[in-house]
Amino acid sequence: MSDIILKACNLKKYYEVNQGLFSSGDLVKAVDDVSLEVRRGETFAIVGESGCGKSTLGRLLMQLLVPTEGEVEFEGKALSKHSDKDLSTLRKEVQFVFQDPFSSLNPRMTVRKLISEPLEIHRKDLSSKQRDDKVKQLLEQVGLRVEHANRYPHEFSGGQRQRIGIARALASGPKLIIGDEPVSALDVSVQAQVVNLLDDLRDEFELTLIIIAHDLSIIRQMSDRVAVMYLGKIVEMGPVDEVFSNPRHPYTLALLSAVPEPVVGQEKTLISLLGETPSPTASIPGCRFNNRCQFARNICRKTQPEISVAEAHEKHIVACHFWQDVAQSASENTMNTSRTRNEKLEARFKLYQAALKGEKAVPKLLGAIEQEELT
Amino acid sequence: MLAASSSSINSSLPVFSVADLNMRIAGSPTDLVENFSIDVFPGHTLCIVGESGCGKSISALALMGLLSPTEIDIRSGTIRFEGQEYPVSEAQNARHLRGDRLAMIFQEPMTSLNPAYKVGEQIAEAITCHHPFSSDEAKKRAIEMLAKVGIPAPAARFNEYPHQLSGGMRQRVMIAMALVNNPSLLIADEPTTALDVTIQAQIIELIRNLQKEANMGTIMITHDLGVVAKLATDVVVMYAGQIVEKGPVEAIFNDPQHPYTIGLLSSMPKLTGQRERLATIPGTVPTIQSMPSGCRFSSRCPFRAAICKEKPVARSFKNNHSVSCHFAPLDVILELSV
Repeated sequence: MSDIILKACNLKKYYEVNQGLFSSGDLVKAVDDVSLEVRRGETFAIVGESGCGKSTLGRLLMQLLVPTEGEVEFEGKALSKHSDKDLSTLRKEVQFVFQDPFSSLNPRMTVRKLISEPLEIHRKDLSSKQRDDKVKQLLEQVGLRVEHANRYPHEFSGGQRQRIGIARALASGPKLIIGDEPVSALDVSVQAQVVNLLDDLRDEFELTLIIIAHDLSIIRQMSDRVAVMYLGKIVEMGPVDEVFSNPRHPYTLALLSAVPEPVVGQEKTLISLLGETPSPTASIPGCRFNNRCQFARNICRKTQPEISVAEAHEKHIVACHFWQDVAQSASENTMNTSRTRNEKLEARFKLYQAALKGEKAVPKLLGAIEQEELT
Repeated sequence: MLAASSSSINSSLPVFSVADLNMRIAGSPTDLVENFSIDVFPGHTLCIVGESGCGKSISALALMGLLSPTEIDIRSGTIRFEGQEYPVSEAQNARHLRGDRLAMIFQEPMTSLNPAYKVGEQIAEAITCHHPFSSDEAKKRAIEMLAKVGIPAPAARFNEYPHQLSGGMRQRVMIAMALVNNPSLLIADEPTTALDVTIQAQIIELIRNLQKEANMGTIMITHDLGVVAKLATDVVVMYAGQIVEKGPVEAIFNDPQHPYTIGLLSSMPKLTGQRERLATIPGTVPTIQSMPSGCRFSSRCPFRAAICKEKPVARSFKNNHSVSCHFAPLDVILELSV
C-alpha cells in the first residue's frame, strides 16, 4: 500500500457569481490550483481565515463538490473516474465531521438511529442485533453512555453532540476523516476533551485525519503537517512545528503574531496586515497577498510567485518571492524567544493533572478534610 | 502635580460598582447568577471570563437594564454609577444613561446594526438621542468618530448600509456608535469572537487605544483567555452563575487558585513550547435543574472532597485576589505534596 492516502493535483473550484441574463458574472476562485498529498496515518491541517477556501477544499477532497479542474486521488484512484456506485464505497472510507453539532444532526432521529444509519448503508452484512451492539460500542468509544442511544440530539450539550457526530463518522469504518472546524463551536474545556478524543481515536482506528480550522493553537496541538491558505491558494506548507517556528510566508507570520496567547505581560510584536481580506471576486495581479504585505515589491504586483522549497529536508514549501526576507524578519521577531514559564504555575498545573489522574493524596494532605470517592 | 494626584484619587474610586446581584428565571428555585459583585475603575478593563452558560452575558444585560422583568426575576443587587445608586431591577429605567454614559458593544455586529439605515445615521442618532445637536452637527461628529475608529473614507462610509461593510468594519461602526458620547463605562460582550484573528488583533488594539485616551472603565465579556491576557487589568472568572475567582490579571494568570481557573488555563492548547496531551475539565457544565448544592464546580472538580457539599465563602488574599474554594490558598497543599 502506498504511503500517500490522498492526493490532490492542481485542484480548482471556480464559481460564477452576479451573473446576468446577457452578461457573464464575476469569477470567484474559491480554490485555485491547489496540490497536496496526505500521508497515511498523519493529521493534516488546513488553516486560513474566513473566505480562504479551506472548507471548499475539504469538500472537494471527498467529492462533495466537483472540481472545476484538477483531480483528487484516494488510494491511487482518481475520484472523477468513480461511478456512482464506487462513490458510495468511497463514502465508507472517507467520512466528514462538521463544524456545527447543532445543525448537522437530524433533530428527529434518536442517537441510535443517527449512528446506525451509516451502518445500514455501508454494512449491509450486519444483522439488526449486531448493528445495535456496534452502536453501543461506538457510543462508548467516543465517551458517551449506552443509555444515550434512546435520546434525541437536543438533549445533549455541544460537546456531546460533537461526539455523536464523530461516532457517526466512525460507524462505517473509514480510513480517512475530514473534520471541518470540528472543535471551534465548543467551549475551551470541552474543546480539549474532543481534541484528546480525536487523538485517541486516530491511534485506535489507525485513521488519517484532515483538520480544517482557523485556530492556530488547536492546529499545532492536533496535527503533524499544515497547509496555510490565503484566497484559494496554499501559501505555505510543511511540518507543523517547522512552519510555526520558522514561518516563511508573510501571511503565516502575520497570523502567528495576531494570535493572543493566554500569558500576561508578554507583548508580541504585532505584524499588522494592511486592511482586510479583499473580496473574493477581486482580481489581484501577481501575488494575491501583495496589497496587504509589508514585504511586497514591484515583482509581487506583477508575477505570481511559484512554490519554492524553503527547507528541503523538512519538505517545507512556500509561495513567496521574498521568503528569505521573511525568514530573517521572523527570526528577529520576539515570537521565537522561548517563553520561560512561571514555575509556580507549572507546579499548579501538575497538581491539577495529578488530581485528574486520581492521585487523591493531594487534598488528603490537608488533614481535616474527609476524602470522598471520585466517581 | 496636583492634576496627577487628583487623577490617582479618581482612579482609586470605582466608576461602576455592582453589589450582590442575584437573579433567577421567574419561577425557578435556583439562582442563575449568585452574589455577583464587581468594581470597575476608570481606565481599567475588567474581563469577565467563563464558558457558555456561566451567566456572564446575562449579568451584563441585567446591568444595562435589557432583561424582561417578566422572564428574569432580579432579586437583589445595587448599581453605583457616577455618584448615583439604584437597584439593578430598576436599571431598565436608566434610559437616559444607556448609549450616553453607559455604552454596550455586542458580539454580532450584523444583527445589532439596523440593516435598513445608513451606518452614519445610526451613529448620528446615538448623538441626537441624548444631546441637543442639529443633524448637521451630529453628522459631522459621526464622521469624526468613524475616522477615529479607523474607517477609511469616513464621509463616504457615512452613507453606506451595514451589508456593504465587512465584519471588521461593522464592529468598528459599533464601537464608534458606543463611544460617540464619551461614555464613562463601556460593556463589550464578546466583541471580537465573530472576527478573524488578524482583524481581532486590529480591534483589540483599537479598543485598547480608545479606552486609554478616554480613561473609560470597561467591562469585557469573553471566553477567550488570550484576549483576556491582552486586554484585562482585572479578571472575574465565572462558573455556573457564580464568581469563582477574581483579581488582578497577573494574579489570575500567574497564581490561579480556583481549580476551575487552573483547569481552564491548562486546557488551552499552546502556540509555543512542548506539545503535550491537553489537560481537560471532565464532564460538562451542569444545567440549572441539576446544579450541585454547595460548590457548583464540585461535580467536575478533581480536588472534590466531602466538604465541597458546603458552599465555599470567598477568601481574599493580597491585591484584592479572592477565591471561592475550600482548598484556597492552594500553596498549603502544594508545599505538602512536593
